[in-house]
Amino acid sequence: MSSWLGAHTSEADLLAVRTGLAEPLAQLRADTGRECPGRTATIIEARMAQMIAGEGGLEPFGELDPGEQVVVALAEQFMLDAHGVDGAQMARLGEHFSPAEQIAIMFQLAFTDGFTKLRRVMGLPVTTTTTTTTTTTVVAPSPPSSSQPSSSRSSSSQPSSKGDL
Amino acid sequence: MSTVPHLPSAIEGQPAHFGTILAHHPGLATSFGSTYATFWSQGVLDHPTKETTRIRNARITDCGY
Repeated sequence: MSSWLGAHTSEADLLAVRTGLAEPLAQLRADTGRECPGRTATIIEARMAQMIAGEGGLEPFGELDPGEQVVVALAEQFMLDAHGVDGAQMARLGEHFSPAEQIAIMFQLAFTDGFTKLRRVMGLPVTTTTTTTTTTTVVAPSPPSSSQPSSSRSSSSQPSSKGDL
Repeated sequence: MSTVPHLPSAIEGQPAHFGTILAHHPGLATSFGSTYATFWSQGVLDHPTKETTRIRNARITDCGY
């Protein structure tokens, strides 16, 4: 696929234009994905990519636990209209995740929202960086073995490499 | 600022704002600071252009910064 920028055909190509910024940005995105609890980083990417692409679903993830369901609802509202994210929704997030985890999730929402829309506007493939590289098809990690308190969730979604920028 | 923070300050005695809320996660706060500093201190766009987009973005998103 070629974008209206001609030679730049991927997000990596675009960011390569700004090498000085690409490195710290890649580090921040990697840190964010790593710090998100459980599968939340991957679920956020999948849901937002689906919303922009207008196809797909979260079925590959299997049954979402209550905390993940809150994250999906938040991702949808964040992408559609951030003004609609209210105190009640944030309170529900706080029922499942610690403040530090909430910070990581909000960073992931911001990055994914921004870069998903950037790819759409630039005419680049709308992909999920942590799950696929070329299509909107989502390959989900295994669901958690049991519902666990947020503070004991481990991060299972690995952030993209710098090459995935 | 027209918005109300949804998380408490992580720094005792200081009000909740972007910086003190980010302090809940010092690692991400440090990475964010480095990236943001690079964005504003380097690049091909002049500062008035960057600031214009920042202000317009803040207006639309109701951001108080």
